[in-house]
Amino acid sequence: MDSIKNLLLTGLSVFLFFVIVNPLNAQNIELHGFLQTNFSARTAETRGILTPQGNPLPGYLLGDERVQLQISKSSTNVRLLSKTDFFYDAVSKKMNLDIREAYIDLTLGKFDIRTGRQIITWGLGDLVFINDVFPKDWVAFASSQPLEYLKAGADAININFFPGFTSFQLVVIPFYQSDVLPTGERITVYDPFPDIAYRQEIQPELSIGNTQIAGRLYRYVGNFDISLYYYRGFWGSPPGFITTPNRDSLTITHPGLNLYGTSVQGPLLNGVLSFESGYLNSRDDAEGTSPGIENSQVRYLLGYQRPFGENFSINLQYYGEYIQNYKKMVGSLPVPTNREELRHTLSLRLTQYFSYQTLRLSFFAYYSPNERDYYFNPEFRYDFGSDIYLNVGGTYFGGKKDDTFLGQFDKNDNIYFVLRYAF
Amino acid sequence: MKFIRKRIHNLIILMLTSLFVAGTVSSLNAQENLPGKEIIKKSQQEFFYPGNDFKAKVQMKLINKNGKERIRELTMLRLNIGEQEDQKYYMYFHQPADVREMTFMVWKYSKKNDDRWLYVPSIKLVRQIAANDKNSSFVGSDFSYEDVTGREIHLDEHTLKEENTINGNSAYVVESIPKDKKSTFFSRKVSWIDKSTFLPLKEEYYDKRGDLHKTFTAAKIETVQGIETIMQRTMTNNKNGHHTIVVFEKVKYNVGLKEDIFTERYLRNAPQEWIQ
Repeated sequence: MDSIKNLLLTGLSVFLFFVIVNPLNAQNIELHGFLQTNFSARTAETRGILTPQGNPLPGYLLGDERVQLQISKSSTNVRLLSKTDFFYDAVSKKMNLDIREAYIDLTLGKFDIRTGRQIITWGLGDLVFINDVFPKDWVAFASSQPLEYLKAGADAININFFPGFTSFQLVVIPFYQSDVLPTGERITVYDPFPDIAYRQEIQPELSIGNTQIAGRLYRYVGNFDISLYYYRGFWGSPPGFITTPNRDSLTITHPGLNLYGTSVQGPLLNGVLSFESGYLNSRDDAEGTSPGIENSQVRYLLGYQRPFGENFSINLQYYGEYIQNYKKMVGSLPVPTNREELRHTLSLRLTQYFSYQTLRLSFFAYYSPNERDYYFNPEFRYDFGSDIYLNVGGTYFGGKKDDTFLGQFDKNDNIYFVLRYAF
Repeated sequence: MKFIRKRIHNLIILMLTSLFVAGTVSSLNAQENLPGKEIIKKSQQEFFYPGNDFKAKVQMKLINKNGKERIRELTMLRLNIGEQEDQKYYMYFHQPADVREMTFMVWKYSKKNDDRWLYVPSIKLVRQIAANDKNSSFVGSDFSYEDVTGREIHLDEHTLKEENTINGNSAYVVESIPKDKKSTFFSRKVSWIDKSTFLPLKEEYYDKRGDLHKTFTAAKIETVQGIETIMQRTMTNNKNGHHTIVVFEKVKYNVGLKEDIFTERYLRNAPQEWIQ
């Protein structure tokens, strides 16, 4: 069904594309994209772990061959763009397509308006998201697809207003899109209800009241970038859940979320300092006593990046997640938790270039000193010319406990490679 | 008393006259024989600052010692800001395909570190990046960031060594020695600066051991809107044979760029009328 829907959507977008393009005097249509092979092999021992269908976990997380086609047409005030991936997934032995982006840009004086499927990235964190409430694909991330696949498109109207003294952005997302979360078929994670076989997901009803609204105000103050954020929508990840009293079915839900945040970025001591924070108000569980609804939280990030010498740079981050009604939350949970009231995490990214930036070695480490879990990603990238590159790396998760944020991914360690030819 | 007053009066006139004469003589000397710093200052004005603004399509060929080429192609916009020698740069990448639509912005200050922002189109991410690494390679080429936007004059001691002829052009030969030896990779730079246009025709950078490290040459100079412009330049790494050839096309000055182009709005949403 999904592939038929996708096919129809592509047909529609291509049709619309040409209907709109023709009156604009069909020339300067640009075609770009890439061909890519992306394999990822599981290195973690998974004997005895079964998928929900009762099969052993696949030894490969990815066997992905894809073509991305980007068609665009620009004039001074209008731009049309569609970016569609056609791919074969050798693990599921299925062909599919994915409309990554398909939008129309209008520039009207002090307004820039983007309508359609689009990727939006907010905030300053390196793999840490506070005010970036837009859809994410955590399965793509954990299975070592290139980083851009962590971000999924949202079908939205994105209005930007630039009156001068400050800039405004308003994103309206009428159709809710869930984050892509592990289901145990390829990426296995901690499951508090291993005995419940029947599972379903309920998305927020399609109504005007459920339209997601995200706003951002930003400006430069000196050479600092300052932003204020607001979001009214739903928890993407972690989602909520409801179990029936006799524990025979589990329903994934998306409880209400209001977010108020801020970020500041600017130069400090030959580097760049970043600060971001957010208050996540879980509006469907103000008391913090519902076991199936994520508690309200305060999240904050302090980051600093700077180069050392000509080809080496370091990015350090501290990220904290403070649960607002921790005692009530712990008391309400049906199973014990290893979550801390204040989760601390430290991350470090090292990047070193060689040979006129044709070779890049990078290392990313993410570690929580109090929940004792980690994520490591060493990577090697080599450019064979202007258009072909090879990425080889490893993705390692682990932790002392198997239910913490990163510890639960323990059985998904993998080595991967990506070979891409871009045109 | 009258006599004394007259003596003082005469003395003042004499002092003022001699000051005026000395000033005239020294300014005459300066014109005939500019000191090194003045030459470099004028050269930087002609090289990095001509016009109020500037637009060009820039083709870069990065060539290794085996002759293997990589391509970079970008549109560069530059705007001069105020009297302080501050500038803003905006770059939009057309090639290679992997970084197409990437944009890069620099706010250059004469008195402090620059600010730089980068936009990554695949994830629609804008981030500020640190700018203390002025000797880092610009997009993998032999040109450093400093070569692209200019090195601060006060960082070096500039001395006019001689006047010479290079490729049939008479040139000032100026030696520049960094005041803080640890601040950069070179220990000495020798510049051949055209006496009539003040454009650098050749520059040699010597490393800390005194060996020739890299060489800049201006291969083609044309007059655009009355402004002498280097249309083709090469930077060669004399140690490993890697070199970068940069060709400017579609050069225009005073196109009417406004400061708002150099903001996050246009980093995310490239101004179509300027980047083609």
